[in-house]
Amino acid sequence: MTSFELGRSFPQCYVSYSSFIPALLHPIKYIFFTLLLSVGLVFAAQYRKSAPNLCGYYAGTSSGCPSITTYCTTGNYFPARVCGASSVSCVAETSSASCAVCGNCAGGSDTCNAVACGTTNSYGCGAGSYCNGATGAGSCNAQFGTGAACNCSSQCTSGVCTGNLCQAKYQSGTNLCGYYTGTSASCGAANTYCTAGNYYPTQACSATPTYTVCQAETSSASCAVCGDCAGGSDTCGTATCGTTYGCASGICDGVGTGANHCLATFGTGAACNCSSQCTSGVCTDNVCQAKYQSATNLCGYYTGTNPSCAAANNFCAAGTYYPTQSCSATPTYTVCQAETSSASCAVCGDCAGGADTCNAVACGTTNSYGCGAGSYCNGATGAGSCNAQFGTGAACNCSSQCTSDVCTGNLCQAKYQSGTNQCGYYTGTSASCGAANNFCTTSTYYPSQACSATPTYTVCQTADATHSCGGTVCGMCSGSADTCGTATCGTTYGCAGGNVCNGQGTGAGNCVAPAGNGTTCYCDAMCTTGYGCVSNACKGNIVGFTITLPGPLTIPAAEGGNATADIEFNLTGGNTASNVAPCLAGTSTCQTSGTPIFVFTNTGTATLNWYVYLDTALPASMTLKGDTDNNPSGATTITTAGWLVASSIAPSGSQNAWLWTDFSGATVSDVTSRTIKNNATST
Amino acid sequence: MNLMKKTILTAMLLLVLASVVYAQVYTTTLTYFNIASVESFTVTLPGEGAVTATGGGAATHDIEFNSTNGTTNCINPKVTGGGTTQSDGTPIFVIQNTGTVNIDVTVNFTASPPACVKVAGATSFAGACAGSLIDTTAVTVQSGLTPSSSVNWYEKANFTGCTSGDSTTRTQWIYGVQ
Repeated sequence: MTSFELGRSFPQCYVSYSSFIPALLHPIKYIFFTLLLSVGLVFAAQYRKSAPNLCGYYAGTSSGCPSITTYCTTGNYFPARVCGASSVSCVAETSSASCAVCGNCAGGSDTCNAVACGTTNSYGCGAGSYCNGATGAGSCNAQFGTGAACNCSSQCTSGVCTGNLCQAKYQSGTNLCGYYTGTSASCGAANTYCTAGNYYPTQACSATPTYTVCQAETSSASCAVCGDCAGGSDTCGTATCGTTYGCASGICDGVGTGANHCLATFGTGAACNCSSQCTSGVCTDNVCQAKYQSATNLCGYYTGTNPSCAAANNFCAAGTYYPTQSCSATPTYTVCQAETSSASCAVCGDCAGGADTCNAVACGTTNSYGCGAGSYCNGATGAGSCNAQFGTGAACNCSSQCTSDVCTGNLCQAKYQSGTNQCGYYTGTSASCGAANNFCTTSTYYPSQACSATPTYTVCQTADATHSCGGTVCGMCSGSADTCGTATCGTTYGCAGGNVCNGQGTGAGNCVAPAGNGTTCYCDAMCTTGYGCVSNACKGNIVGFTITLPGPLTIPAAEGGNATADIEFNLTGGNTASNVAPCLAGTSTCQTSGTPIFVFTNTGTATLNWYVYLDTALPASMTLKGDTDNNPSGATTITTAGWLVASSIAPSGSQNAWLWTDFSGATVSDVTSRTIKNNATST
Repeated sequence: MNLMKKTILTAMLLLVLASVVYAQVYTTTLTYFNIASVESFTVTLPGEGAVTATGGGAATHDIEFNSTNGTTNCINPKVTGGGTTQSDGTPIFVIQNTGTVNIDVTVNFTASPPACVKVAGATSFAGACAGSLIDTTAVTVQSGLTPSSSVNWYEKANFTGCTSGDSTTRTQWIYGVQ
């Protein structure tokens, strides 16, 4: 913000200046306003006079005071005056003037000066008469009885004017659940009903009834409570099935209102609309149902859809049971009970009897669920699906059906047997335990044991001091069972001590001893120490290494250079930044503190020195540097002269390198690319 | 002859072995040095820290031109709140290109100053009073300001027949455009 200010920064100048010429700095200005006032007096001829009716007075411009044309409001009066120019205002009633107060007066001058019907019921009218809403003496009427025409309730002795007729209001009848409303002049019929739990006390037809709204039921009034009452006025005031509203006995059927819809409760098999209509309390499919019965099969119970309790069609879950009880609409037990020690003989899944049904279709999951002792569901339902457990070789659907507890390929299998070759064990797919077809991993073993469906050992065991030297540890065994269990060159799996698999196949014939220079090989492990496998021949003093980029992406070095994935250094903000880490080009896979951009691994047989070169110099705004730790402090600048990353890296040894670029005053025209060369020399 | 043959064969064998043993193996990694196109500049007022320009406009500290009598020429601006006043060698604005592309730098007010106030600017202290008149139209500070380079900008104001009622404020924008 730029301010243009006058003088604020130099107040001392004004101080000295104003002391000499204050009047110029502080002129006083005035504005004069002239206000002209005029007062006008009106002397108009007017005569006023109060009449015998003290609620009115003669107003205005009539010199003859011939008629009352203005009236006081209620509570005010007009003192008697002769026609003349005296006071023109009504005055408030006082005790000494009470006899003259408008609205309280009785006399022959009733005029109904107020036009609001009944609002000033004796205003200007004689005692006991009320304005009917018009003005003038003829509009004063005595209160009317029930049935007379009216304009407002004040005109009626009952205090109720409805439909321009005076009405008698409120009467309770013999039906205490209803009361008569104001629209009935005769109080002849109840047409409003209390809600359940409320009642209307008995009272005569009256314009001033004691009760005008339903009352809450109390103990002393319980006999009169709606819904509990018995009488001739059953009406089913609502059409909701199961309510007892207005019914002397029975309950509403939910079909309609009126006494004919109050029905008694029904027994089993009767038609129904809701459960409350059934003595059993169960209405299903519009038929009252008998519910719940336990039979001799304690694992099932009868449900409400069966009126005859003839067959159990629901069953308890395993571990629960249903106690025996007769067919009843109010059974003691309506849900399955948890098994207890005292009820254990009745527990589902443990029961033996003639009700075997295999109600569960999951094979074997509840092996005696509904089946007799020692029989198991085969995955289908029905008594025919209960089978005894099968021996080895029998058809099966699940392991629970087999005595061996092994069902593989729909056959019961004998499982687990270790043989003479302790590096392998027999699996469940062999019914005869005849051949080992699974093998332990190196440094684990499988103890000897006989063919059994319940073997002691079912998984490979970790080698320990007891077993490692005894020829029982896989990979260290010598004997006729060396097999090269895998075809991966260089593994020692199953080969005699010192031998390795040649990767050309499995079996003892592929176990070979590592050999020296010139020997045929398929991997370095087939060559003795100091030799590597080059072009399927063991050779010594080999320079070989790999470079691994984040990912990881491992590339072996090759003659003429093997290209790795491209990398990039991105300057994203400003023109200067230090220690910018590289990423794989076009990806978000980058060097991090735990992931160096290059990992050098000596894959040869020679001890190596590792160098990193830049093919050509970078622009002046960029500096490439590297270090063997993840801290750029102390990093070495990398140039075309090369950077010795590490010396004397032994075969199989590895070394990390982190790179960074410093940008200083870079511009978009400096964008470029270079080739970094990873090289190694033998020491 | 046989000896010569043996010697030649031996030499060839050694040569072959040497080429195998000491064959130069290496990897190459194509490395890109990418530089994003960044328009960025800072403005530094005397005695203040650099303020980096933003797309929505970043506010610097306020400055002010003060006239004691309503008619004053070549008034140097100063940073409000008792800050530094512009002087020769201390420009009111130092604009530095902190991006990676050349930018054209301009200044302008968002609304005209009062008629009695004229503000002018230049890249030298001596030339500021009679420099380019700054109003609502952009005035070029420097075209093609290269990355990492900076330019000094001096401003001065002439007050002619101003009254205290002319005291006001205006916002001045400094633009940097590629």
